[in-house]
Amino acid sequence: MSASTRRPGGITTANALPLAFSWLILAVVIVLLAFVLYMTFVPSLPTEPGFTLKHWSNVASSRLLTRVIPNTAIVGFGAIFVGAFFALPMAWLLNRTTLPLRATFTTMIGITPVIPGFILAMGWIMLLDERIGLLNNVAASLLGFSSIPLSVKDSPWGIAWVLGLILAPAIFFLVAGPLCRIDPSLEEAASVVGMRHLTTLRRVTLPLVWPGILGGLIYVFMTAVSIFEIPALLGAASGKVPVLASEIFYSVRPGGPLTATFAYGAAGVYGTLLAAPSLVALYVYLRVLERTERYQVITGKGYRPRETDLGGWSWIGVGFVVLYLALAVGLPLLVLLWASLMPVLQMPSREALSKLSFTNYDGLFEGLGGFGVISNTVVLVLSVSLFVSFFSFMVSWVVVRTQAQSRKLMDMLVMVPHAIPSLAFAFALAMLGILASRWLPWLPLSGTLGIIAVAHVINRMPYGTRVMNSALAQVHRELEECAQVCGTKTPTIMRTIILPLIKPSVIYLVVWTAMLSFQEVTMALFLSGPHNNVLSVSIWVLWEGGNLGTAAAGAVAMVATTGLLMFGILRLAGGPTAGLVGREVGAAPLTKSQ
Amino acid sequence: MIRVKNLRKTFLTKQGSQAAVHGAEFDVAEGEIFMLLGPSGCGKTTTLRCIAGLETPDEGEIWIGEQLVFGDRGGTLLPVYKRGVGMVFQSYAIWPHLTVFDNVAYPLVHGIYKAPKREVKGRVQKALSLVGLERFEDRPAPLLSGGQQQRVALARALVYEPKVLLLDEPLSNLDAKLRAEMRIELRALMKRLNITAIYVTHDQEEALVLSDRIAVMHAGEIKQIGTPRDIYVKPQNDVVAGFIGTANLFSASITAVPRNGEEGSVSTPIGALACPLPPSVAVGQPVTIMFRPEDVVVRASQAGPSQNSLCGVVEQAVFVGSRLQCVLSVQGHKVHCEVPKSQLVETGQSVVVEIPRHAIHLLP
Amino acid sequence: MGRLRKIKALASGVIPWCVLVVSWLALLMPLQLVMRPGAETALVWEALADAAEAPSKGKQLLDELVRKAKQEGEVVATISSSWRKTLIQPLADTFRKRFGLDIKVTLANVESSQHFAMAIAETQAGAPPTYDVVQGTDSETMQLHGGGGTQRVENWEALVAEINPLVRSGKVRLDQIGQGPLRGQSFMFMANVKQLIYNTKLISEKDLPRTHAELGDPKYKGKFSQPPWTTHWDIGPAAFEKFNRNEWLDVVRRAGKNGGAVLYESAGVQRVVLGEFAFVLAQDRYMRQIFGKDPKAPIGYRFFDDYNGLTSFYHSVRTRARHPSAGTLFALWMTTPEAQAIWQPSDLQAVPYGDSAIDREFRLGIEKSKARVIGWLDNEKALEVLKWYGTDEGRKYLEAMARAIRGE
Ligand SMILES: Nc1ncnc2c1ncn2[C@@H]1O[C@H](COP(=O)(O)OP(=O)(O)O)[C@@H](O)[C@H]1O
Ligand SMILES: [Mg+2]
Repeated sequence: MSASTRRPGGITTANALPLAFSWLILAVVIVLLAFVLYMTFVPSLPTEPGFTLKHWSNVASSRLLTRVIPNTAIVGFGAIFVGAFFALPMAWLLNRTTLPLRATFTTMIGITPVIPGFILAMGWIMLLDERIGLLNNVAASLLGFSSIPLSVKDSPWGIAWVLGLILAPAIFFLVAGPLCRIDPSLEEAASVVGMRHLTTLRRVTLPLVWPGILGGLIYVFMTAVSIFEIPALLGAASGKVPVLASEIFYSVRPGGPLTATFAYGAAGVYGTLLAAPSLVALYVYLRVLERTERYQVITGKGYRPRETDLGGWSWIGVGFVVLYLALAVGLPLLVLLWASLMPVLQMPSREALSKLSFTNYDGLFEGLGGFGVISNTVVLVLSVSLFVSFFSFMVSWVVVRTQAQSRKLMDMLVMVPHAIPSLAFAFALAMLGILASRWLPWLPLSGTLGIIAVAHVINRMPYGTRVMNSALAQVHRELEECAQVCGTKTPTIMRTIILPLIKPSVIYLVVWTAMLSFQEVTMALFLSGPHNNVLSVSIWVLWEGGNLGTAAAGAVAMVATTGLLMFGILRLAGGPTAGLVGREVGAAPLTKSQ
Repeated sequence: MIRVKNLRKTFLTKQGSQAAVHGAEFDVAEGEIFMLLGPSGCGKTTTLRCIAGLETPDEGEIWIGEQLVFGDRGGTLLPVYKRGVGMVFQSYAIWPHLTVFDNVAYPLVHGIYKAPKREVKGRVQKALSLVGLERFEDRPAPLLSGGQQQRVALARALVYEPKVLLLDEPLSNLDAKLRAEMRIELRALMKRLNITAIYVTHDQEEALVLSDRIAVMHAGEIKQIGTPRDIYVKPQNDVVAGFIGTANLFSASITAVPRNGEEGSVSTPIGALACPLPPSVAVGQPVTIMFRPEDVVVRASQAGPSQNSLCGVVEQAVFVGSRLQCVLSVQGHKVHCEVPKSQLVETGQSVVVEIPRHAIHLLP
Repeated sequence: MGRLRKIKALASGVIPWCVLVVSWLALLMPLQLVMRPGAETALVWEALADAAEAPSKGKQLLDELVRKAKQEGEVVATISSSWRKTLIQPLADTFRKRFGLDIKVTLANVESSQHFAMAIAETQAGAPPTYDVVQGTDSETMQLHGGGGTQRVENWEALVAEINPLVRSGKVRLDQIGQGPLRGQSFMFMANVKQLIYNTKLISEKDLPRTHAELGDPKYKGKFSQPPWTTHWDIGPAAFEKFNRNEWLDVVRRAGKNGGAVLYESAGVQRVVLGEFAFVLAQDRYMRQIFGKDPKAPIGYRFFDDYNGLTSFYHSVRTRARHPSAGTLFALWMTTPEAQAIWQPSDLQAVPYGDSAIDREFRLGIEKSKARVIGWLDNEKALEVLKWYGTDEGRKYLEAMARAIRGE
């Protein structure tokens, strides 16, 4: 009665709950993956009979090896490089130093994903283009050249630059959590041993947050190579810089007059190709994590993150953050504002200035779909971020904190959806929705908010588990075991001990997931039905329909509201800085003395 | 109160399987302080964690009170939180996001030891005063010193008055002086509360001072269980003898068995020695003898005929305050001994060594 | 309150309206006979003859349909993804009011190119369709039709004549609303025509290419953008007397290699306005859109001399639709000037048979420039080509064409 049966692999009932939830979400992942894979052998629609290998054989082309893969590699690694270049110093500056305005900066970094990618790409074309680029023209007139042949267009480096700027926040948020939770005694020990600040940073701090960084980089790489719209606008679509994402898109939608010939299976093939290197990277990552014990930096011996006072250097730090924000937030916001105030987007000029008006803002609320769309969006974003946080926590719990034999498999499996192009994923889900509406008519899936939520949750699980893994890996095992001995069950422990300890990571995850879900278009568009329209889709549709001005006005409104909301949330949660464990605890007396 | 039978636990690691505990067996009586003593890595923590339920053993049975909490037959496994034990972890496991009060109150607020709200404050204060931390209630836990954290951990383990207390090297993070004080205090406290405790340590002095009984572990096995005195005076094997205090160990063979009031004697590498022998031994049988340094008498010269006197040379003499610790060379073999600080001993000096007959202990 | 008013409006609106329709029909009948040439006449005559019986058959059919629609209580339909969401409410309200329906009307912006694949899958899986009525282009609708995804509307001639005053008045022929294989299945309600949109500051009208083949001319290197889809090229085979598939593919490839970018039409137009590209292959709607917002914008348009593709949009009632009658009413009503007056001012696409300023300008522009405009359902040859694209060989050809657009 009070005793329970023992299961192999050291799984006790304490872990039954997280295990059950993990398998629940993974079952959905597996079904979807299986379906995506199945689609790669189906000529066009899975409801039609037939078996084909053509999706696989079509992929093999010399172009792939000579152009697509090299380009993709440049884009992926370049984006990582650019992203890390900005994100890592910022993560340290904004989390472990006494830099002024940290809360504001962090919030602004958090807003970046809300800015639609097509706006950012447009902004960079307006800045850096041989013919119309503002920077080119200014530089050319200063230097006396007729034109400066530098452009973000038609070069993998340009694409990498823009993607890196966009993805830096992802790295920032993945690293920020662990960085806040490093036991300062480890760093102090280093400084006692006589290491200088920079050396400490390099030899102690960096290795400690290495799992977080590595996880972040792998994630960002996979994201960078799967984003379509930005490379497409910057030259991938014209075949000048073909990358995997554009190959996928065009092999899926050859662009003919016949819709049903869309080869969604091809996306699965590319997904598999993308997944393979990603899984190798992941394997390496897991090997690093195996030495988890090394990274358990929240011990029960008490700690407070130490904040370095930069003194006179802090202005360089502020300058660095401001530079990034100017490039990644300021510039696109300016372009966005400009576009929203122009009847038709034009390069800034005296003539253009005379055309400035607010007409695009007229009837904006109704134009975006009014209250229905807003409430849909809120429900979607909230439920996605809730479910992602919950399921990521459960999966990461099993992966990091139990001895379950399946944990490595789980960790791999949960990462795979990230490699599957969202188009293929959305299609598989839509198909399953159709089949469900035939066989399980009571299941509210097809055309509901639920189906978008499922797509987003599965799609964000890889990120969620990265965040949770590195957060949980840092909580010393005995903190949890002690609570068990004190008579509490796993759910209570999670709630009262683990969650408060990893609160900063959880807040970041919730906010960040919400942002990404808010901004996601491809899947939400594909799965949209009569009753599940969301804001991002409304804005995209406006843009694609040629209403750039209205779309930009919508985006301005969206950025403004979410920015304020996020500011509020972070303030309520104690701010991105004060909310960190230990800091609120250790604050006054000790940190000031440094 | 606690009964452990044939406990086995093997870890599977990348290097292969590692038998952390094999075949541990012991009983702990109610109110007893039971010590698991052994070098680092010998499986003490694993044993303790098995009792707490934090590890699932591969084999064996564990009883706490009248309840079988783990049994390989019938597949019984009582979850940790139902075992009713208190535990102090080596890292203290103080929850850094809670104050001292909240840390200690945790078991009474959540989980199965939940107490009525109005009782919580009183009980927490009582527990804190037991460990002498009355004034620290509102202090955030991370702002405590090591000793204070250790006390918080103890108060938290005691606050719900568990039947059994498990302690994993609770004093190992403290400095030597504090450690010495805490030993006495801890024992007094546990005795006052009449707690059944299993205490893990690698510090033999701690074991001797604190415990009622000691189990000496080595490489996953329990080598001997006994009172501190037994363990010290009558170690059953060279491992135990070697681990507890300093021991002079020599292999020997029996030359005479005790008969008609005559004493038995053994021949050893340092010479023939007379010693008490059990009746069961036979001449020629190889044995190991052991004697403690403090029992050895060192004289500058022969003072009349006496038993078990040997000649030796002082190789090393270290002044440790209360006495001198010496290493002598007898017949080319090292003999550890201690002499009073009043006695003058110099390196290189020739001395006479007397090993009192009753100080010699035969290891079976 | 709102409901009460609706009922009142209903009561006051319906009865005199019936009287009017009947008398009008009686009046118009002989006229119709005279005006209608060709094969259509017999059918219309039949329908109208039926309708003329008192009370007219069209009226009877419509009443029956309205009654059923009321029972169904709801209709769910797609509208073009590019239509403003602000159109949804007035469209729904006017539709309800027109037929005195007090049912739930849900209209959703849906990208037809994505949804039609799903719709075909729904049909194949035997699942109930998400939408009762879907709108899509001619080629998409043909496919859905081929997959059994559309439902025939019985007596559509009488119903259209009853519902659409332009048909009733004889201004619009039935074959302008239901063409070729889609007759009675799907109902055309708007169209656009492909053209060149150019930046007048960067290139003058006379320097623009005259034919599609000229897009491969080195003087246009990097100067233009075209969309990734094949719509500007795939109808080519139907446009030429003598036609060689491989040569055409070469033409496409040369143009693809010569172009500056491959972008969605909307993005391409934006970048022409920005001055990044001189011209873009796009459809007429963007032209009107930009002029609507900024009459001084530096752009102009020109048709090709060889051919210009016409894309028509249809509404179809889905097989197994949950609300077929209400769906039918909606599909037919969308062909009326009443509906057009709501969506056209913001969407700016033309109704080829319509009578608005846009429609007239649309027809006039084509006429004046003597541009050759062809659509998929215009003629047998185009239809043949469309059918061929459905075969494996045709599919491969299209894929090659899509790659050629990107310069491969
Ligand atoms: N979780 C584990 N996985 C693998 N090996 C372990 C684990 N825990 C302990 N061990 C191994 O088991 C042995 C006994 O460990 P432990 O009980 O912690 O020793 P002690 O507490 O006596 O120092 C050691 O060799 C240790 O490396
Ligand atoms: Mg240990």
